[in-house]
Amino acid sequence: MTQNWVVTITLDLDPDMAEMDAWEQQLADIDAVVGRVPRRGVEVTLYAADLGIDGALRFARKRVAAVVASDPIGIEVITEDEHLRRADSPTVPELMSAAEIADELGVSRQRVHQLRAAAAFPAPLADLRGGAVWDARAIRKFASEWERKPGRPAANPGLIPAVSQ
Amino acid sequence: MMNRDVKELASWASSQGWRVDDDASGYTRFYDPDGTYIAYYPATPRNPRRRLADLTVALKKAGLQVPPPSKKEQRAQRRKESGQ
Repeated sequence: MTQNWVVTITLDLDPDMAEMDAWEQQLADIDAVVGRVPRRGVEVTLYAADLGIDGALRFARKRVAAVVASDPIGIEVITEDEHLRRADSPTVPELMSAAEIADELGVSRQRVHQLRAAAAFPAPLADLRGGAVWDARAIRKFASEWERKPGRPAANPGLIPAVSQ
Repeated sequence: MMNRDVKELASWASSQGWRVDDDASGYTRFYDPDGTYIAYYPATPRNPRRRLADLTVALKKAGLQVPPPSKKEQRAQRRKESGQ
C-alpha cells in the first residue's frame, strides 16, 4: 500500500501574496500549499509518496530549495493520515459552564460553586464576568473520581455542648 | 464564486473576525483578524480533500480557533455512522 507523506517546511520569510502564489504554482505537481504563520514566517506543505520518511524529507528539501532560496528553520514529516487527523481536530476543548457541570454531576449550581473550593475540583479555563468555563474532560474526570457524601455535613463536635449526667 | 467545499470553513472564519474574499481567479483568500493574508483555496483544486486539510491546518496555525462539534452535531454524526 502506498504511504503518502506530508512534509511541512517552515521558512523565516515574509513574502507577499503574489510571491506565495508563484511558489505554489511551481510546486503544483506535488500539491504544495504555501501558508503564512504570523510572526513566524511561511510554511510550504507538500506531498511525497512511497519514498519512506527520510526520502520524503530529502525530496521536499530539494524541491523547495529549487523554488525558495532560503534555509528552512523547521521541517516536519508526518503521514497523510496524521495530517488529516490534525486538520479534523478541534483547537478548543469542549467547554462547560457551571450550569452544565451541575447537570453532569446531578447537583445544584450553588453546589458547583461550593465544590470550586475543593482541591480536586478542576480550575476553570477562563473566569469571565458572565461566569467561569471549564474543560469538559477535566470535569468528567473529576466526576468519575468524586466521592459523594450526601446529606448535611457532620456537625463540628467542638460546638456541641456537653450533656451533663 | 466560492467553491462549496470551503463554504463552511469560510463562514466559520468570517464569524471569528477573519476576512474571506473571492478574487478574480475564483480563489477564496483568507486574512486573519489583523488583516494579514494567510492562504487560499482554489476554485477547482486538484485534490479537494487534501487541499481543504492543508487550508484548515494553515488557518489553525495562524490562530483560527476551531471548536469541537456541538452535542447536536455529534449525535447527527453518530446516527450517520450507524446508518440510521
